[in-house]
Amino acid sequence: MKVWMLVLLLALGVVAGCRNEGTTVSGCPSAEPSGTPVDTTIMAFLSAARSLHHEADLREKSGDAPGAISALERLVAMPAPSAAEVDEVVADTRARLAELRLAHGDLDGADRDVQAGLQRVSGPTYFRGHLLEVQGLVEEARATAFVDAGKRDEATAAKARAISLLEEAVRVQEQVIDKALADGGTQ
Amino acid sequence: MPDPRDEHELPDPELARVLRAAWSPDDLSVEEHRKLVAQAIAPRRSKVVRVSFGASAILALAASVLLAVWTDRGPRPGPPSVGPTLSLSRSTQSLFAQPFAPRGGESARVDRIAMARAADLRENQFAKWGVR
Repeated sequence: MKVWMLVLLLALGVVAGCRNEGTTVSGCPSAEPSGTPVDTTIMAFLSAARSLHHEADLREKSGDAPGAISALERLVAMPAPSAAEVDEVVADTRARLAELRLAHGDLDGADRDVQAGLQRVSGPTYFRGHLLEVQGLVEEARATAFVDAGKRDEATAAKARAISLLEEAVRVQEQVIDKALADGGTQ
Repeated sequence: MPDPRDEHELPDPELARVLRAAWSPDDLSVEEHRKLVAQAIAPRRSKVVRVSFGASAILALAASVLLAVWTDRGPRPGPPSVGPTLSLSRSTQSLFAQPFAPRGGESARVDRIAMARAADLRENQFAKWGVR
């Protein structure tokens, strides 16, 4: 009887874990849509995100990379409503921040942004694939830095991590493409 | 040949004991009392009972799992005539046909997301107002 009770508890746990309770993180078949109607709060966040990305464009084009980073940091620091599209926009912003920091040699800062972005998007999406790609580029740059510093072993390890991450990025992108084709294309 | 009347004249010891017990019963002996109580309170869990409980539990478990899975996969039944159908928050993955370029394009992506959701929001507001 004890074994049956254990099986019962395990099964109920699995079922409860996969039930959609409004979370925006995918992982179970029914995770999307999240169930919250698109409302003015979500729209306000998206509007602010749009403005700050365009501001970052203008600053980047005028050679003001720190200004661009500052604009995007404001965006990721904003209170964010719980919604799938908000998570994806924040993840994309983190990827952009990581690229900007990478371009200026701030590898640790870039890595932190990528990690924060990956926590926002767990399922196979272009957003996650892009973050993994950027993380691969960060590790590639780290490998180059180790080579320049004469640290061969560390360089080899960083290079292996870069290849692994870039391969993972490709796998995620392939999953997204396969799913889109199976669903009959994009909307 | 014995006379049958002789048998009736002599008292049968068992008959005498039964008659006496009916008229004036003795107390049970302590040992006999313990034996009877032990028999009465002994757990009687037969195999049949255990199997039937186990089978019922497994059936209930299977039914609950199936119900949960079907409920999640199927369209969520909403009240048919209570409130308008609203556009829900969801992944924007379907707005993009190709993987993102290695560098740039973030503003164009957020433009597209914001425009798509602005349209959803307008629809939701019209639906709430009953203007559709």
